[in-house]
Amino acid sequence: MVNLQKKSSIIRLFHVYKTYSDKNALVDITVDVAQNEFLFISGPSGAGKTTLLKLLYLGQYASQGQILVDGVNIARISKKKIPLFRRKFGIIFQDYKLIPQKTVYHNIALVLEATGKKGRIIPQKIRSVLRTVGMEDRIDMYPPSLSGGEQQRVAVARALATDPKIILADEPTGNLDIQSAGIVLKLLIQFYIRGATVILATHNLELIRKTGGRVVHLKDGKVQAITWHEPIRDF
Amino acid sequence: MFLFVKRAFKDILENSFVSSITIVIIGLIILIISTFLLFLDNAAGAISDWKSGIRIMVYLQPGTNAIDFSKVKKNIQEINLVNKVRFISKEEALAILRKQLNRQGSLLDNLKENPLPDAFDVQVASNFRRKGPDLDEIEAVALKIESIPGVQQVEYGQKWIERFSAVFDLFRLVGLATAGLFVMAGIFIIANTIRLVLYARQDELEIMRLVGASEWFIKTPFYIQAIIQGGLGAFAGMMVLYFGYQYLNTSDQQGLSFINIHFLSMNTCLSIMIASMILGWLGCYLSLKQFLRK
Repeated sequence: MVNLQKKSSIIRLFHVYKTYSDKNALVDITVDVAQNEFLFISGPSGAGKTTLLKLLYLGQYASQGQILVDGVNIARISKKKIPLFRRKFGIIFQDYKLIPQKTVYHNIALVLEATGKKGRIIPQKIRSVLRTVGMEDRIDMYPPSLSGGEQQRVAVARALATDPKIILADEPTGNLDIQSAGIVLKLLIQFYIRGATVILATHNLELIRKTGGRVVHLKDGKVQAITWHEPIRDF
Repeated sequence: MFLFVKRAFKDILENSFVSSITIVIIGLIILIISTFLLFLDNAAGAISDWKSGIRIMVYLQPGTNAIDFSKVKKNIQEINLVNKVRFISKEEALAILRKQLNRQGSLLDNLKENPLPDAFDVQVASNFRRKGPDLDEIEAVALKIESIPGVQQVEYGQKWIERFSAVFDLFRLVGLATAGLFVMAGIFIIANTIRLVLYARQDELEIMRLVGASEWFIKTPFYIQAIIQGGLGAFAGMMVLYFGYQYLNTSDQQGLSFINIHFLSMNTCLSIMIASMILGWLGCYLSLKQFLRK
């Protein structure tokens, strides 16, 4: 899917460890992620996929090792600058994390307002991203009235709204049927084609097989293997 | 900032039940504290009035002649803080006594001679224009007068005022301590209310943090919300107090007719309002500090 040799790394992990009291969640992880790469992190539940993603957006700190994002050692980012750093990412979760009391419009508006967008640009951007994910007609609906697939599409739209450089998707199709999963995956690939770096954590090998790309296999917090899968269909 | 204020009002309306409970509780706390302040303010005014009405009665030795009177008067007038000195002859004193005894005044008819001494009525001024002299000032003046030749005895309502002032001071101390406890209770109530709202909006806050919302963006609406609640609570509490005060003032409250009760000054009301808003802010600060640390 991507020619790694010609692209510089946007994320670099050197001998990263994450330890919770006496349990090792991640052990000696060394991985490079190229700019505009579509990378899978695969492994069974408890392998450390979510922990790895959390370390990238500073949801948690590594216990040992070094992580560089966009050339910056993230351990040195001061607490005050973390919000600015996180704006590089669009994060998608398995459970969507939409606010049920807010409409689709307001769920996305919140993110835009939080990142300092003002005025007419907000409704314009919301309509544009909802059009991209095919949810423009659901703009005034509340998340509980949408299907799982639709909610995840709104979550994708929310992640795309701020035009992030990097998309982190944690089991984004985990709760979806095959059809909805396909739609969400296509959206992520579209975003990758437009130039973003996508890191997708999943235990669904079928998804990886269909999409193709580099896969970091985790087990018990360790990198078991890094493999390359040719896609069934080239996007 | 307009966006934050809008969000704060929206949050108050969305969590109307919890918000109204907070406002009512703040209102009650402010009502209790303001009532106490109103009492203290009026009691302090009454004591000050009584103090300013204090006279030192200077009784002269029997047989003092007119030349000695004027010497004693001159000596008294020279004492610092002495405001007015009025001579009361023993005849005038007897007439006053007769008037005070009213019907029993005829008892005095059988007296062969006037037993009352000549005296001076001395009024003490204060160092400060607005309040009456303090007890130390009165005592100092009384001691100086006592040492003047020709003076037999000096009298003033020292013990009564001392006792009343001591009770008043004790009351003020207990009241301030109680008010302090109420303020602390208020802070914790607000902190807990905000915490409830924070728990209810945990997902929203998490999302905001994940997308890179600054701490300022997350916290400001909560602070505004707490300040609004503090302000509304104070307003409600003081309105209740004002209506209570109006009721006392307009209806025939015989027992209170001897005291001229006045309401808290505009400055005090504003100070209470601001203090209540700070109370709200502080409660919010504690809550956010603990919650967002997670």
